[in-house]
Amino acid sequence: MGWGKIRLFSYTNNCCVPQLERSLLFKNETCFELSFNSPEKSSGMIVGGFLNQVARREIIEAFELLKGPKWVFAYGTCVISGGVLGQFSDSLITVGDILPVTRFLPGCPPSFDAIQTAVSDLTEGRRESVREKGVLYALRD
Amino acid sequence: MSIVKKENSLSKWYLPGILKGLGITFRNLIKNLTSRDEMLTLNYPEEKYEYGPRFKGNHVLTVKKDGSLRCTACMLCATNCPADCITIVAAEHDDPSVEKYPINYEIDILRCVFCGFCEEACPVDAIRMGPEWQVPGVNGASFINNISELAYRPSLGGGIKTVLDDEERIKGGI
Ligand code: SF4
Ligand code: SF4
Repeated sequence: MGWGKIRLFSYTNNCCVPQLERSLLFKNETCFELSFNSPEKSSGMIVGGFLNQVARREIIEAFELLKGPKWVFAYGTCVISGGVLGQFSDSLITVGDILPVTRFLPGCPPSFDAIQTAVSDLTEGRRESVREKGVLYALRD
Repeated sequence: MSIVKKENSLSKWYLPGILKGLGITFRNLIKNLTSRDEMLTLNYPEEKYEYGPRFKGNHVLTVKKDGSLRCTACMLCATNCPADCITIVAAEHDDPSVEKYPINYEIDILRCVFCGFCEEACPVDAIRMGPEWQVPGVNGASFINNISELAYRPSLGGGIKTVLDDEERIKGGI
């Protein structure tokens, strides 16, 4: 894993987020990396999977532990709207009801280009500020 | 449970093991340096992954040669959709040779699972799954695609025309 990448905590109980984790292995220079057990060291989180009671409690706990900008990416149809299963649930609670979602990524599974675009859109401003900081340090030296 | 490793003359010396491991490393290094096209890793942001011909992306409503919608509002796609995300409002057409046509056709992208059952159900090839992937959006973005989005979005260049038109289809008995 490289330097200067955004670390995103991934929470899931379904199939599309493991697929994303797998496809990260075969790509160089993506703008984010995934962490599976340390939300306190991550600046955002990817949520996927149908939200049952345990999942709802755990993503709220993980969201409180995040540091920095606290981005939330709702990844895939299950977490956004329940998808096919959502029709049969009487008390459907989606991720938009309990967390402030930064980007919705529809699709089953969402394309890898979609999450790359979403993350790099958000980090462009950040890269600008880093570049300015570099200029400042250079002037000071 | 415990694992007992038998010592033989090779495992006493650590150098053969190291050389064997380095051999695998250098074999892969030379293989990847000489034939770079066969490498599994992509140089991702510059080199894009090519989707296959059966990739199921955003929906496309095809049009006839005169530019009107090919869909006859038969509701087969809405019935077959497992996520129940297609809404069609049908109306009667002035032309007696055209049965019905949709005045409103909406697909809720947030509920669609991109299974392609609508494409399979359609009897007149009016809906297809296109090659574009779904773009991410913020809360409150327009995720319900209507006719102008599905059939006449700018990337399609005025709509995708199917090969057969209505008269040819009736003549051919399709
Ligand atoms: S792809 Fe599947 S879920 Fe989406 S509109 Fe078609 S039938 Fe419904
Ligand atoms: S898209 Fe095809 S299946 Fe759906 S209503 Fe139109 S003609 Fe019928």
